[in-house]
Amino acid sequence: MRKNIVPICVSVLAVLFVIAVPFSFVFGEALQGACRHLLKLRIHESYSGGRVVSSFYDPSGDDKGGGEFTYPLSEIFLPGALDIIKYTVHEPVSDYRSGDYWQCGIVLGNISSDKMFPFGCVRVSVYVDVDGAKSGSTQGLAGDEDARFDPAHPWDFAMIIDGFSTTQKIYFSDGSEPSSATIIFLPKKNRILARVLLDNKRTGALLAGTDSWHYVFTKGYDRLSAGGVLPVKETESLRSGGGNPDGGPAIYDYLLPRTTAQSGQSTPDYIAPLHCSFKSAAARIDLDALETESAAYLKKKSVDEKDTQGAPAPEGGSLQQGIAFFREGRLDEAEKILTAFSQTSEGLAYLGAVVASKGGKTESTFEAVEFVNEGFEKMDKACAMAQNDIEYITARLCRANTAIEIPEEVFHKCAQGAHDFEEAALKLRELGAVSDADFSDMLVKAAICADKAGDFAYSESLFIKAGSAGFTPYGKFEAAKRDIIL
Amino acid sequence: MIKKNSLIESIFAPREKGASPAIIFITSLFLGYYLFFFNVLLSTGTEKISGAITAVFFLGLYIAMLVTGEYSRYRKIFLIAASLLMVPAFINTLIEERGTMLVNADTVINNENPFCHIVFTMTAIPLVLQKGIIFPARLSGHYASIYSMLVIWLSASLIFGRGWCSWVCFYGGWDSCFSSIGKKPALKLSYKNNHVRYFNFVMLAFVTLASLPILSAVYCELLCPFKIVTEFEAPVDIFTIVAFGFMVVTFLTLVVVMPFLTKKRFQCTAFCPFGAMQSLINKISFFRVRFDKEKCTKCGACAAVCPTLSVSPEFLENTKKTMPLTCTMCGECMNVCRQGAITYSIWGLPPLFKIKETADGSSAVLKTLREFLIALVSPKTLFPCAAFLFGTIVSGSFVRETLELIINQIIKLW
Amino acid sequence: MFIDAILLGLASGSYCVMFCAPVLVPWFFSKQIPTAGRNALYLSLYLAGRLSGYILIGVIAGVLGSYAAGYLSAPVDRAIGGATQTLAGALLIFSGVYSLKGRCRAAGRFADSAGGAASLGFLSGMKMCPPLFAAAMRVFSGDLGPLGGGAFFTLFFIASSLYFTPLLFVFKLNKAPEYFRSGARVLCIMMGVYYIAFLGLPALFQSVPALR
Repeated sequence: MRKNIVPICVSVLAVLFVIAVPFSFVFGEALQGACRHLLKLRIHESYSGGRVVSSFYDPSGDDKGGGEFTYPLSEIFLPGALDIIKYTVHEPVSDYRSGDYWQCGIVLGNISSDKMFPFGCVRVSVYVDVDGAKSGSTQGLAGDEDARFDPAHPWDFAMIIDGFSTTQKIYFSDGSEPSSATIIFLPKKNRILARVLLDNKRTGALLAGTDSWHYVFTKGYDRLSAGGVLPVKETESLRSGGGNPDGGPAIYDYLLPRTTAQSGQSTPDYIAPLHCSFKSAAARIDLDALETESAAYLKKKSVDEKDTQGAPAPEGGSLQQGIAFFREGRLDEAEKILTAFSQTSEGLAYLGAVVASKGGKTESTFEAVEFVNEGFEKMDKACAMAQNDIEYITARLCRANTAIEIPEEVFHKCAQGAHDFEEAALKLRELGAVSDADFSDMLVKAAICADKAGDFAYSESLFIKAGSAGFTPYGKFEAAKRDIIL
Repeated sequence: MIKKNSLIESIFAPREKGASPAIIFITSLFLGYYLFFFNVLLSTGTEKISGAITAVFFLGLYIAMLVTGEYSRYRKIFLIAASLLMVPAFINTLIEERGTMLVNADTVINNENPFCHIVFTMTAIPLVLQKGIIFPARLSGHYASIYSMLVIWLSASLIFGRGWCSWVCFYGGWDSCFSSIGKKPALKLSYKNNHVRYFNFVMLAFVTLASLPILSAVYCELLCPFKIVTEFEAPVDIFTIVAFGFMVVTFLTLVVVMPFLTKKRFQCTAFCPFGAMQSLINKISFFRVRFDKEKCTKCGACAAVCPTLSVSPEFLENTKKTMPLTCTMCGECMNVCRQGAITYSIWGLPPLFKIKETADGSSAVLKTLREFLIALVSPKTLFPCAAFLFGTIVSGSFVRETLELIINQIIKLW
Repeated sequence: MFIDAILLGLASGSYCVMFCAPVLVPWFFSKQIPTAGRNALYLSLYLAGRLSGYILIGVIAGVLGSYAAGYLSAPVDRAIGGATQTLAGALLIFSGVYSLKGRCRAAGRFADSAGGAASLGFLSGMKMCPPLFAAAMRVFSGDLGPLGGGAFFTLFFIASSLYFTPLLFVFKLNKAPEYFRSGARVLCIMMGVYYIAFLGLPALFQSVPALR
């Protein structure tokens, strides 16, 4: 027997290797999570156009110029088509095929119209100052004569993206020969990317990695009008916007620094530029430090929550006791008690969460799948049964918190989870029953669900909403991981 | 007593060719359970039907493999079927996700390209130097994401190294397919030409080094022949036109013509950088192919059938007991070796247990059961089980999806 | 200051590996290097060539006013890169062809010799990467003085060269089978073609119009 110990051990190891084959797929997500935690991989920035240095967000729905502009009556102008949502500035990138370039990205409200390729009605102007007051111009290009620029930051190069061509000219303030930019349209994500070749002294200055100032605004596009600019008159028609009785600049939306209100921009004053430093905090975000802060914050929150829950739940098989058992991880006991309350939405919701959680504890994969499916059936029913706000919120939060924990690859529950988190958060906010921090955290969880489900646009919008309420360290870390820096 | 012994022997006793019914039953149960789990249980709606067909097909191949003992024949059928059936499912997924099988700016910018195992060869060094993956793929949340492929690749490498090429690779099946058409090679490529396989390693060095100055996966951009059945960039400028040309030429010559002419897996042997990388990883893999030189009569039959030209006269003459690094563990040599000199093994070790002969007839049952247990845990049983299960899990969803597409088309026409 | 120089050098080394390894590795591995001394000689000549390249590109950048501007013009960088990559590719092809088939004797002998090592080093050194530019800016900024500038650059160069030390042991592959060196020679030719056709000439063609 002693002679056979080594062969026996090797044989057992061999059998374990065989068993490990299906298990490495079943628990693939856990293994991937471990790899993610250890390796912290990222895609090289050259594929997405360079690391994001700054992101500038503009409130949605403010595409009314300085007053009450309205869109033309033409069906090409979808609501939000001229509404700037986000502008990103990236670090310059070296590309062996096209040469060194600098990328900026604009997200609009809605450019998915297929009436005119690709989004036919928008005219986006981007003016960049790279050297402060040293040189530049405060006169806009043809069609932008009505725009006023800060004399302290006259622009050095500019482009107008008109939606018809995948290359646009880069014009220089000193009148030198235009260069070119490649335009990439991503209508599904309402996004336009402009890649400016750095083959000129002006654009090349971005390689120096110092400060720059950006002016970004939208007008309507009309190929047949002067400068390609859609006129904005007193009343809208098929080929003109309305709500501009005083004949002010035909600019529908400006992207402004946060402290500046848009309504002030149609006055004789200039458009306030966005300041972007290539050595800004965004370029040096320390993800590790944010992660540590986030972990500490979540730990403290969990301790605070336990303290708030306070004394042990009353005896006697009450709903509260069942919920307490669930929170402590005593699933069998919780299930026993909550089964008695399965006629109510709240009881059924928690019962569903308990059953689904059992899926994480069982060793049989077959059983795990069954538990989770059964749990969600109950929680879906609980959501449908909800008769008041408390039940509505409880049911949705149970479902959402379960969705975020289970493997998305297998169960595909995160899309619904995102909506559940958002709806619950908004409802709680309506009732005044949630702090800003908790509201923000709930929206962050919704964003994480949406991200896991692959709906990146929705995820980003949720992060923005959460950020508007004020990120907690948890939210800041999760957003920074996804290059969302507010 | 005699009848009971005969019954036990007929069920449990190992056979010269093929496995005993008991082993077939136990391993098929294990394999079948997971085949049905992955293909039927995790499917929804009508996919359960195609999933069931897939599971039954794979299980049938496995049982045939064990009954006949001809591992290589049924492995080849599986590999070819999986590779051919992968294509419609893969392209369909791309069209559903992004509207086209062509690589477009959207997928690159959003890092949504499927991550293929061959890219590993080009990403390791830039990852260390530049802290970034030089391929625009999803990090997670998709079957072809980086972390997902990393886990699959690590598992495969630890278990069977270059056995990936014969048991899992959905590109290698194309080579196998064209090399299996006809019997006689028009172009004889024997072990005398086995220096051809060293070009594999030259390709590995080339793609690894050439990707560094451009921080881009040069094999994927320029050289990969299999883009033609997966995804490629639209030929719109000089670079993409040249790349398109390379793709067509390499596919036709290396994957279709040369395998057909030589009856060898030419692309896998001479070109694939991933195969070369896995050859180097063979050093750490658990299962290997063992060559018992004492039993070998140097007939050369194994060298003649080896699809990757791994066996050479020099190897037959030397004292090494494990197959050369380029061996893909396909089992072709085992099929033809009459001396039983070539077997699957653990770390290249000889058989772990020795059968004891006893004179006492009453322990014949025990002897049979002991032999059965030894056979159950032997690499000859465990390796095909592990490798086949691995391959079927990787390819199962593609086969299922393609069958689903076919069934839907038939229903529509009906 | 010394820590800065070393850190910059280590950062530069990672860029250097990216640009130098594709030409250096095939060239070194295709040689039958008999002794450690000869190995060290080839590597030293390569590094000397690289240093000369650094100095020349640093001077060119200074003459063009790059330090005042804070960057080296992209078209200039690309044009120089294109030219040097084309020449490096040609050297590799000559080296490979000569050592495999004995053809292209004059050019091949040079490419295959110590002179080839120094030339490859020089051509590799002519690539202005961001850490090298940062080091050059420090040196030419004037606040370090001539001696300080020299010390800074020397430390920087030594730190960046640490990545090349594994190549001191290539002579140990002397006993490797001949097919190993044949493979490396084929690799030289392949890399040479790649450098000329995909990196060198396209970069030259693209950058020349921008320079006009």
